[in-house]
Amino acid sequence: MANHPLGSIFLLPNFTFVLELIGFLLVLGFVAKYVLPPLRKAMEAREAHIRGAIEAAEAARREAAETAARRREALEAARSEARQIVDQAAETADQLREEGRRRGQEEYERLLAAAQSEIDLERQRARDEVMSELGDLVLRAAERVIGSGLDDSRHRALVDEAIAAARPSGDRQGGGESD
Amino acid sequence: MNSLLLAFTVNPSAHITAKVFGLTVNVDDLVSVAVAGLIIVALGLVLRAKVTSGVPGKLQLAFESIVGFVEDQVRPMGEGGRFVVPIAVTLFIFILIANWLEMFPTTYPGHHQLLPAPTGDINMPAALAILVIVLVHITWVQKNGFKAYIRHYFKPYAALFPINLVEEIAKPLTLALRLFGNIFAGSIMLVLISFFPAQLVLPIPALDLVWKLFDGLFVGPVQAFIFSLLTILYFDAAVTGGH
Repeated sequence: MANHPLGSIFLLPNFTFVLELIGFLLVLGFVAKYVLPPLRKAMEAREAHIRGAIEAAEAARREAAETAARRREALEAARSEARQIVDQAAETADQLREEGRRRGQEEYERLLAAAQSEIDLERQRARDEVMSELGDLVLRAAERVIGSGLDDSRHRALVDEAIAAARPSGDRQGGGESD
Repeated sequence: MNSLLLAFTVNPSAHITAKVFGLTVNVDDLVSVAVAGLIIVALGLVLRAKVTSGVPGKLQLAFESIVGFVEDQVRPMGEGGRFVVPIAVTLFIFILIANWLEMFPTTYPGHHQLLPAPTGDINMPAALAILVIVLVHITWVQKNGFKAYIRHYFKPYAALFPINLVEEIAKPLTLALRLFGNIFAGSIMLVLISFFPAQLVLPIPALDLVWKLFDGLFVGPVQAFIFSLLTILYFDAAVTGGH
């Protein structure tokens, strides 16, 4: 080789060039046909998987946000409804209390009036009784004083007249007491 | 400098060679390419068996990172640029593993390196670069038509034709020589380190290891990355029909 005029020039290729080119093409064919496609497929599958996972996470996040919004809405609705119910209840209670108070007042006034009229009636009756008793007593006392023989009917009329004369002042006195 | 060269001869074309149909073949580089190819095939088979759309393993994660990066770069080309993905991915992985072969200690004193980085020999970078550039030119014609392809040499001004032409010729050359030069320099460094007198700097195995770590962890991936990125850029211009 050293004797060859070009053999010692190391910058010139020899036949190794062709064989190495063939060798590289074989490796290139192997890599392109048997190594890269499954690798590519795995990479794409992983990318798709990751993309899917990200999308799923995004969907879950969106759903969670929607659920939270719905829950907040429902809570707000329930709260306002509760407030309404409480307001209504308070109003009803006010009405009932007012009604009760009013009824009590009426009942009280009715009872008071009834009692008053009964009292008046009783007093009237008592006075009438007392007056009639008084007439008898006065008559009997006068009989004792002036002895017997008083004309009963005549004197009786006198006494009644005296009583009747006395009544208006007694009535006035009685009316003033009742008020 | 002269005394240095006299002290130890570094022969970059010292390969185990054989004749196939009367043509010279670097057997060691060919073995390295085969090993790199087999490693990729093995990794590919393991990946195929374990590929999952769930939590990816380390191997799948590495592949997915490379594919994801390439797809990000190719995306601006649109659907018409999808075919670039397997090319760029395979180029990156292939060059990366080929570069890493340099890290295996397969050199024995007085012997050839059994498993040299095939990218440190001009044949493989040239093969890859010419393959890429030929495909780029075919893509140019396919996507934009032959007329547009010819016209783009005269844009933006017809006077720039010589510069455009030189640029197109320079593309495969720079693509190949950049990769070759970097990895080759790395292997030269290893040879030089092995010739260092032990008492001079660090003990040789340590220096060897330090250089291999730098070369393998930094230069190798960077060169693989640049090669596949430039491939994508060249295809981008071809698919979109502009510079």
